[in-house]
Amino acid sequence: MLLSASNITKEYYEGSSKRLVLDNVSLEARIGEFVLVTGRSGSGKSTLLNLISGIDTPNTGSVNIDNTNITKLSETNRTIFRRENIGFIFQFFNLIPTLTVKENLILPLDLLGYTRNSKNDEARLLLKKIGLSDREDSYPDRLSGGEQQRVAIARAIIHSPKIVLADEPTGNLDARTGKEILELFNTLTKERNMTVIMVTHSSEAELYTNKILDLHDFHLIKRVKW
Amino acid sequence: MLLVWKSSIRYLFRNRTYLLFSIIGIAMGVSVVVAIDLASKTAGNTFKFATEAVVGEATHKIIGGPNGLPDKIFKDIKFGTDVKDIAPIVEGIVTISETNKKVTLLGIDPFSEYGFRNFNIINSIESQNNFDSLLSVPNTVAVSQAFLETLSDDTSFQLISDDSIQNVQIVGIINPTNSINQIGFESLIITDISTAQEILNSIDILTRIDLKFQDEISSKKGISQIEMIVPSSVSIIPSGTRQKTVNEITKAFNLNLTALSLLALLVGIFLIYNTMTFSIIRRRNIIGILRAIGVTQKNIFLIFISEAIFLGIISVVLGVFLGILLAQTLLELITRTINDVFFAANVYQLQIDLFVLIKGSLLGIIASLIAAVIPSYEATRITPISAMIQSNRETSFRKILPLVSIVGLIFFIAGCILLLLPLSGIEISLLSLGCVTFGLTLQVPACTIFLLKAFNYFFKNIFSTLTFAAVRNIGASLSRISISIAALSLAVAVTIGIGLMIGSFRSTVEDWLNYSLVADIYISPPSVDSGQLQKSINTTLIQQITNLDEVNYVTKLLATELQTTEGTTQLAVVDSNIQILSESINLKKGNNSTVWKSFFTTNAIFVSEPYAYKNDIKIGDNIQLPTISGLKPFEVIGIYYDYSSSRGVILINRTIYNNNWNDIRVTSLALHTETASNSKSTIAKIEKLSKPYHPIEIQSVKEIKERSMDIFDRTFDVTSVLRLITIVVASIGILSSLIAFQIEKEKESAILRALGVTTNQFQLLTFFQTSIIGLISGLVAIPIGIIISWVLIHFINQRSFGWSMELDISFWIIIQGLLISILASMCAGIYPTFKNKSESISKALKQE
Repeated sequence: MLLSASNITKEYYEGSSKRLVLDNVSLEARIGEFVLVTGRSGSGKSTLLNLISGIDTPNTGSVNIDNTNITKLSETNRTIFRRENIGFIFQFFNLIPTLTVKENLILPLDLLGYTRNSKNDEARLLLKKIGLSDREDSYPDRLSGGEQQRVAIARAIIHSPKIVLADEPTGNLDARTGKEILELFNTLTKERNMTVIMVTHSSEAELYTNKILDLHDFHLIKRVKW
Repeated sequence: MLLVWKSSIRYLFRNRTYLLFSIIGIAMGVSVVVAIDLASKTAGNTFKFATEAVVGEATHKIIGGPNGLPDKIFKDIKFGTDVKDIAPIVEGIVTISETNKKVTLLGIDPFSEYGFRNFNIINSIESQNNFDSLLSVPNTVAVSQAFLETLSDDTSFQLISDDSIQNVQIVGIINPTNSINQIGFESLIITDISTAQEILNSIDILTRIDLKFQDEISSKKGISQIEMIVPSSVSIIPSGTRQKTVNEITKAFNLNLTALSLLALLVGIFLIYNTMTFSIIRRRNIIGILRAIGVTQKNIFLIFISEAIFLGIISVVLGVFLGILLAQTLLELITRTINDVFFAANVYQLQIDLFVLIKGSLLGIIASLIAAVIPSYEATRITPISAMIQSNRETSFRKILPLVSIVGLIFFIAGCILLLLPLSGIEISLLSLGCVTFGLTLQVPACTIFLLKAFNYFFKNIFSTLTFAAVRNIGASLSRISISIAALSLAVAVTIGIGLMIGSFRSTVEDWLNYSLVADIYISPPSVDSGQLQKSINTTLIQQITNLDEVNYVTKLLATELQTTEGTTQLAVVDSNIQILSESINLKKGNNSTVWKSFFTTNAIFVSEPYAYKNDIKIGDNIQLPTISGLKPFEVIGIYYDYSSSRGVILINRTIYNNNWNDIRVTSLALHTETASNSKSTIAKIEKLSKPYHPIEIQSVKEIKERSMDIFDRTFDVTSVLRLITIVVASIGILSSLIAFQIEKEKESAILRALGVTTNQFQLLTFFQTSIIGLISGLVAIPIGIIISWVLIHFINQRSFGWSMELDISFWIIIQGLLISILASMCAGIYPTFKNKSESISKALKQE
């Protein structure tokens, strides 16, 4: 099992009051598996991704990725682990506005210390795949929402992480663009045999997987696909 | 990591207007520090080199009383002892007629000079030793090349001594023979001893005799031999006392200026803090993304610290350049103040000291780093989750506010404790003032919340929702805006504090002048400024003036100096009656009926307040003074208020003085006439009487008061320049905050404009907001300013100069401070207002 989140509980403090977000939640994913997490707004889907990525830590429970219990790692080591093993896609694209398309793309490789040539080769290859070869020197604010999300997907997978976490990747796009993005996302992650955990409201995403989990009342419930 | 750095640099350049204002603000802070340091050092060095040029290699000097030394003593020592390295000197201050500059006239004996002073004299035509010309031709002088260049005629010029205008011929150029700085000779005229005696009207009198001993043994032996043959009125003291005196009297002045310049840098630090905080807040989202994709906290910290260093370096380069320019202006003001208050000195050119520039640069960079540490650390704590929640930063800012206030309180209390320590010197007092001011400034954010709440409470029914929202926006952006409010408050508080101090000082001096100047007409030789030795008035003229029908009584004064082993002591000798003296001298201590009688009959003296403070003198103490019959004790029976000299003055009765120093000179007269109304005709009569004699200056009491107050006001010109710069730096802080504020509120502004708020309405709203910011800064600054002035008056001034004064809280100065604050803030609002006008609504609305 590549990912194993066991009995994780997460509570937040709002002033002096405590708010439960996840209660004793467990989740597993194999290599190359596509897991969909659905649920109402505020049900804790994004929190779950944050815990899996090590951005946040659970109050109880553990997250194991490729035999590493990331909840036991120090903040710095969690960050380095994330850098090497996890790709992130956000609803609002979150490209760095001060870097060009190509630079945004190669940022993870840059952090991992790749050489200039290998970074450029990899970036050009992916740009071609996402159909943005002619926009490599554009800044993000010059791209449409769909184009920005394509770059974000490419950035998430360029360093071949073991897991890609996607937080509502189509939430900010129209239905047609959303569909295109999901197709692209599925193709690219399948090609590289990556594990995907996607949080979404989109029913379109259900076409790509059989493993759908519903977050309801702080618990994760497996949904049977009809 | 290269791309992360690239992104950081691009961000800075994308926000270049904001960056530019921040850089200018910090650069101005640095420039003030550099300028004050350069100007003070140049002035200090010039005085030091001038002293070195005059003193040369002499180790000791023989001095007489106020009348100088008779020529004969030189011959007695030369031929009656084994001391061979001995050089007679006649020295005095003269004014150059053409340039109206005061220079030192040094009369030397070329035959005795060998090995004493580090120069020779070369003929301007043929390079040869030209001491001979000085000896053989009367009224010939040698000057430095720099001095020569200030004259229109390079062969002769006129100089004014107390009694006459003299024409002198230039026969040589002073050529330094060792590494002593050329600057030392720029304000020096060298001549033969007899020419100097003629010009300075001191025939057969020497100012001093320089001695050079090789070691301590030979000095002890030589001194004991000399003491055996010279009269007891003569003293032998080390040569270094002159520089020591100069250093002591300018130390407090320079220290206060340095403190004021550091204040501008402190305002600059607030600015850097503000810039960095804003820069981080703006990039919370980017930091969040970077952290999500694996950039560590350490990397984030390094990025922001590097940005601060980058900002610091650019600001420092600009600041050093601005500092050099500003130093030229300040040098003139500082030299003028030193001339007005302390002693005659000329500074021709700014010396650019590399060490000062490096020191200023390092200070700027270190200040940038200190200011950036907290924001950079905060940046590392940004997580991808918190980056998304906008209200988090305000919540956390408000959470740490109590801590900020407590830290401020600790600084304030520490400052108060330091102030009350009995042994506190000026340095400690300034540090205490820094702690008190910083502590109070840290209360500004809490005070801002309080004032905004009060504003909301009182005006909620008066203003429209829109106006109200504009005010509420200030509160909602407190984490950014309160730093700028604090910086502006600090600058305005200092303006109010110094303004109140100067105002209090001014009214104290005015009261003192009104109290002291009880006569109707005052007479003295011309061009005598405060702090300089006065020349004497002809005795026949004094008699003629005394005999005038209109003159009821003449108080005769002598301002002179005594050389002691501790340095130079100012002596005021007064010849008057008990009634006038008791009316014009305001005793701080020792005021009882027996004091005045003792002053006229015994070896008793009064000392001025600064003298008593600096020398720790109390009533009943004895001061040893070198008289014609050797050192004699004089009992201090009174301490009086005096604001004419920060060095301190000893006041002595004429009869007692004459008995001990045998000196009949009079340097000024105070005439008590029949009625004040006829002073004009009396002045005309005195002018007529004085025509056959050398020129004198006759002033009515009104004129002398005006002149004194002019000098007083000029003394604070440097302070005014520094206050103005501090306000400008703080205004730039507000400006950059407003730009930051506007960038943050771009979308909100676009929504308002899309909803139908006109550009004019928007501009009015921005101005309203900036006025509120200015008002808050000004209101908070008032109590801080009053506390600063209280500390300045009761501690800093007292410990720097020994003057006591009462705090006079002027309503006008407070209102002025408030208006400056509002105006500075509104000026800062002009650019953001017009920038907003040009913003595209659609573009701003599209922004995520």
